[in-house]
Amino acid sequence: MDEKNNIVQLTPMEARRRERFDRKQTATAEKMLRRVRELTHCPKALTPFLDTLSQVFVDRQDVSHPRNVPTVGTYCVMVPPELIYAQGAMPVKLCGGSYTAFAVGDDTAPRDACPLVKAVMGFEDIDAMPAYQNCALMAVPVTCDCKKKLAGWLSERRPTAVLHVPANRDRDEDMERFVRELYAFSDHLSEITGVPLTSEKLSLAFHRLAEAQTQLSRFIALRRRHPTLIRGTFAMAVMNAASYTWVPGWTRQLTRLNDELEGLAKSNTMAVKDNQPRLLLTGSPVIFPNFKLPLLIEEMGGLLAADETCMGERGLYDPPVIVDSSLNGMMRALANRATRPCTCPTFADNRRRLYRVRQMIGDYHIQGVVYHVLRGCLVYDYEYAVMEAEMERLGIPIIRVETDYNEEDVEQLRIRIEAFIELIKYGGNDT
Amino acid sequence: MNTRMKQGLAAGLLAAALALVAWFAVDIPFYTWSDPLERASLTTLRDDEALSFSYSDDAITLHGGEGANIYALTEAGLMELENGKADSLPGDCLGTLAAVKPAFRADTDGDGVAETVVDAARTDLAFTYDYDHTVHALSDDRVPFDVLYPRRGQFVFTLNGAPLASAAVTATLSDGREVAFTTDASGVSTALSINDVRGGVTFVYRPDGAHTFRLHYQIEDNTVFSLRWLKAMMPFTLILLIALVLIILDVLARRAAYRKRGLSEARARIFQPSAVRKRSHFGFEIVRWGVMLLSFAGLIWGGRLLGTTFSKVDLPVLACPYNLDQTTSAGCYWFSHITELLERPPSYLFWFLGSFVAFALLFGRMLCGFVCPLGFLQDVTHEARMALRIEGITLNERAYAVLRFIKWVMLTLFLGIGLIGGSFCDLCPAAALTPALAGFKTSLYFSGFMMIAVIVSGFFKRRCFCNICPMGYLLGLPHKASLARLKKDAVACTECGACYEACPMGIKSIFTVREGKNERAIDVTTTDCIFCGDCIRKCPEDGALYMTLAGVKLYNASRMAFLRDQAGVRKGKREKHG
Repeated sequence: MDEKNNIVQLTPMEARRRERFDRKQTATAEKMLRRVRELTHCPKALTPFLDTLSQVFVDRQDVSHPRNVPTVGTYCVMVPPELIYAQGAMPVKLCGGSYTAFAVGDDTAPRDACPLVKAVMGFEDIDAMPAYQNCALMAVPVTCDCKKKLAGWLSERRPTAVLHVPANRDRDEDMERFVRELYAFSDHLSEITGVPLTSEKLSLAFHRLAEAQTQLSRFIALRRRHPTLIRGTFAMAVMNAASYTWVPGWTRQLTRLNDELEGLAKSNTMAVKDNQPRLLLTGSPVIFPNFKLPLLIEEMGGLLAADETCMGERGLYDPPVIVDSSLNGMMRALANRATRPCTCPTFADNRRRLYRVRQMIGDYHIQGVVYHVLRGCLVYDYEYAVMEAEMERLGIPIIRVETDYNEEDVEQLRIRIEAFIELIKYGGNDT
Repeated sequence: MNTRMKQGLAAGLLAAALALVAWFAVDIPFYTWSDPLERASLTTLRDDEALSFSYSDDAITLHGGEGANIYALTEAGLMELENGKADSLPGDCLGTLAAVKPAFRADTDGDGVAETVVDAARTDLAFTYDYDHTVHALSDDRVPFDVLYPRRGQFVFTLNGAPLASAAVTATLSDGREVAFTTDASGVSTALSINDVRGGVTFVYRPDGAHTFRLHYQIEDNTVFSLRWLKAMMPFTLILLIALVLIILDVLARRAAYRKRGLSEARARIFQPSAVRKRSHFGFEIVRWGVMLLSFAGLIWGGRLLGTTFSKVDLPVLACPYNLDQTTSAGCYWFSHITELLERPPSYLFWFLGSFVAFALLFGRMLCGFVCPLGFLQDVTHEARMALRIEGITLNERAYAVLRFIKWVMLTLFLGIGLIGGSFCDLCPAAALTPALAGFKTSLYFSGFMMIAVIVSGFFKRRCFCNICPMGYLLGLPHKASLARLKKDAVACTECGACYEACPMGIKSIFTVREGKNERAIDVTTTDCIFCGDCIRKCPEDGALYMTLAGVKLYNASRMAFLRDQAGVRKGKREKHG
């Protein structure tokens, strides 16, 4: 409905606001990238991933993609990228991590809304991010309350596809309902791109994503090496960059990174010392440029060995499983992948997240868990108690870190993280 | 009326309908061959060949019939056939023909002294139309030297009605080879293989220097890939054609229905062949297909390929025992004909129970996934659908509950209908498959319709029949003691549900079970599991699911193997942009 064209129509006040936004946004993103680059043992092959983040957040350009391919903004891992690629578009994950946008969105969203949604609303309001602006369609799965309201708010401004996500997934009907949602979404995509869904296109898209996941699995296997080959912050940058990269390109970049890491493993060049406490980051999503938590952990002498967050490893981890190669079979595979293995706490029953974290603790030799709660992200906060009880049972120390995108609490966080790392380093973990 | 009552009523009606169909199965013929006795004709040639019978499809010819008396064995004993010619055989004929020449004196052993020679020939044609191991001795003075062929690979020799114990007999095979052997204490010899006998064999027995008994024996021939074989295949071909038509109709009807209901256009195109092909990698799946192919061949042409059958062993799968050439006997027959089993000598019961227990404990339903020819057929139809990319019919919990109910009704019929005088074989779809492929003209009653249902349902839903198979269910019952096990690591499992999606048997517990004695190795084997291994193949988590046989890990879930499978498409078609 709104024709978002050019800066020309801006009032002077809007222009000032926008200039301020530009400056701040660029500065924050640049600072975060600099801090990432300053960490030791940064592999050479990491550069393209950081360049992608820089392109979108510092230079504020659109994501790179082939000509005539529209982009579709997605707001959750539950939107299957396969479907979007199959119908001739490119998915861009738009969950916002920008403090600057968050500050803008703060004026529109209620006080207790989560920073992620505030940032998204801020991006929409300020209208200065090409990667965001140029999306031909927004796909919002209704997961938590904030996303639900966001879906309504966005659909008044943009072409928006709302995907109803079942609250549970053990019953067959729940999953079948989501299959119907995906068909409706596919129809929506056809309207935008003019490309109808066919079984052949979809299977080629599956293939494309499966290649990316093959490299990701290789990457994960390399990450599990003990001592560690690559810092978790770098891994999170890799996963965040995946949101803004044409997937075959990302696969090539990751292949090169994997090759470099394998070389490092052969020459026994480890990223960090053996005795650095190995931490797992879980909870609310960590979205660039809000990298303060991973950076704090690693700047304070900890090692972010793994993450269980949806903008991190989990974003691309679960593959859709084709059991039946007909179109409907593949759609079922997508619906199944989007709901069943998902450890998002927006599902009513989510015991599987505990098992997932337990498995990761074993796989990555985890010594402590950092539980990230974005202020206002109730669902993740709900699950902290269960997670804490489970960690207590296992004798793994856990720390709950509640924060949002602003930098004001950094010093306080630094002290808490440092203490937590010291605790693991010098006792406390020998029980 | 509340829902529960309605469901109960529907279930009751369904069960009654199935029972009714089972009872009248024999009155609902799909394709019946006329009685071999009516089909068969006998012509006697007075040529110079040795006295022998030969077959050309249903026409029997007696060679060297000059001066011979020709008999048909009836319930009343040997009955002489007039003119040595018969367009149809007597109604009470037991399917055995014999010819004998009057005794004459000749020197056949080359010792220079002439002895009394009795030259005879015998043929049995009963084999190809009923599952009947009973063979009938001629028990007649006119043919003193007699040979019975009760089981493939086994001969019993009698002289004047008494077993010919420890006697030296020479057999001349159709290719001119001579085999000399000695019978055991009860006149039995197993010296000849099935293939030795197929072309006819002449037995010569010389009790002393003064007597020679010659008998040519020929069983009704059923050579594969002959005209006769093509004829025998006709009912099965008909089944395939009808199934094909039904499948096409279903696809068209569903497409129309989807369009009418206004479903997504993408969905309405339910038939979308594609140039993209999967590339398969060597692994459990290929091995399973290999074993299935081998056992399929074995259960059809095993006797022919190996030259012998293990007829005492009763393989508990639905491989139809009407095919007498299959490698082993089939346990299904005795389960569904318990009264007949009890009439047999105790050794039968011993072998039957022994082989069932041994197979159930060693492999359990692994036989369903690896050996059963009916399962193989269904896997083939499923693969055909995969290749054509036709939308299938996916079942959910409620649909599986209906199938489970049908399975119990089938089980009751399977075990019970033999007790009240019916025969499950008239209903069993397996009767349409292996006997026809082996060249046996087996009449199909309701079986034929069942087979159409098996193929059509197996096309749209993988291994649909296995879900209601009574034999498989019985085989799976003692699974707790079986050596084949399916295990799950509940911590590694992400509950992605891929195993449940992949499972042709709809075993949901494999996906939902999280608690167990040792949560890293929860036993998720159930009565329904056929060990096809698809849950493991489709499992993307390292070691989350695995299969063991006697404690040895046969197959383990691996993420990399899974992704290689998933990413592996055959090159040749590239995407346009990218």
